[in-house]
Amino acid sequence: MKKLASESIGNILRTILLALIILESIVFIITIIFVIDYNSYLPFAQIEQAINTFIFISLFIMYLIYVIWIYKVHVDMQQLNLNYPISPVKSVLSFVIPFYNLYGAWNVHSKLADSFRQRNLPKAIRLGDTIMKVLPVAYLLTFADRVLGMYLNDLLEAQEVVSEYLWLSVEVVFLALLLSYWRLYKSITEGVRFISAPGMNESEDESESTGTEGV
Amino acid sequence: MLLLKKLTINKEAKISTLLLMIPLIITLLLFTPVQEEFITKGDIEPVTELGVEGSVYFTYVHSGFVENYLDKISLGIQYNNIEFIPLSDEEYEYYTSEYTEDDQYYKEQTIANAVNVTSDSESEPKHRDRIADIIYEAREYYGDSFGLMIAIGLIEEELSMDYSRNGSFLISGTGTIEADHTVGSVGAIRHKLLTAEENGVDIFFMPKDEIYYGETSNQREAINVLEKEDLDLDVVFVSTLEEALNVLEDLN
Repeated sequence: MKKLASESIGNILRTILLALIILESIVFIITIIFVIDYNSYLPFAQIEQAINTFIFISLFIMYLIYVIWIYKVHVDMQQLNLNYPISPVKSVLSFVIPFYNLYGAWNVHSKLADSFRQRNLPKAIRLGDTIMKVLPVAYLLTFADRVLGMYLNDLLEAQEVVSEYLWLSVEVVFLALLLSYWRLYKSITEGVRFISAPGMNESEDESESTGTEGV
Repeated sequence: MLLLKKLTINKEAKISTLLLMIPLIITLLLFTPVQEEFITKGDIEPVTELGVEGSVYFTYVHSGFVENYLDKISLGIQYNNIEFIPLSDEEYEYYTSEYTEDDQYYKEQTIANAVNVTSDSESEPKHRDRIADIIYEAREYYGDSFGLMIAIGLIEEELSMDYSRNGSFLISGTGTIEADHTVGSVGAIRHKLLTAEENGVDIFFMPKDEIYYGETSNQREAINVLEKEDLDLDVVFVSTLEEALNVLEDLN
């Protein structure tokens, strides 16, 4: 079986995402300790600060890798389906152009989901459906993460007391956001691998000839 | 084929590890220990904030210590005019152990002095309650440099006076108050003066202590800062509470 263009970078993205999820889970547990008993939290305060710093820097790297990965995924999609509507360059621009990316990121993911669902095979349909279920959740969590982050910054700048439940909410939302990225990554990777399996390309051609293009 | 796959996985694992090393190295550098004290401008607050019915203000600054470069960078971003002073091992040890306890003691002492030197009441329990109330209200502040201004505020309260002349004068200052009514020396002079000027203070009281401490006195330091920073601030040096009250009574 031919190796996919997105496979290597996908594995790198998986490692970084996994590392972030594990570290954020540790931060989440430390935050729970903070809510329950402040004195028990104190020995972990510095570790939490260090992990948060690590996560903050890693997010930039993850974003960069994600963009490269989505480019490679679209290289694969173009090879698997000559009529695939989004080019690799357009997929990258959809993520990096401010404001346009609000629509662009949604469009890129939904086109991938549509492409999987067009195969009319239970697994491909399921993966497409998963993407379309997780996508609004990821959008909602991204929005919640930004709003909570800004509110927290305002409170810290004004030197106001920050409720422990606000800290906990921030960590819950961020962990859920990483998990939604993980789910999207897994569904897209599995989907591309599935449709690239021997015999699947013929199915693609068949499904396109039945007039499902342009959905 | 299997070997090729293994080699590829190893290559991907290596790249992933290398990429994760970047945030790890940056994090380690940011958490490299440093032992420095920081001081930066603060604000002025009315003594009513401490439950004292006066019209005057006390001046506070933000200060503390940093333990790593991340703290230092964060504070540098947060505050414009921040000063970092390296601490010796002994100073750092003191800061992280006994300082809080000592600081609380001096804060309570100056509040007790302010109440005792300004109250006509002979009743000891009444004094104790008032001292406890002000200590409670001042729980968010550290240091003892608001003693003089609390004492002035308490005088206004006791005699139902308004030295600000209905808000016409913005009166603030710094200095401890001692049991014998003298005004004691304090720290962070430069940043207190900058804070006062920034807030448009009309009269700023400071300890007249050059006679005791010479070049290292608050008075000398203030004169140097006023000159160097070209501050438009009316600083009044006083050695006792009564000297400050005389200045306030003569205000026009």
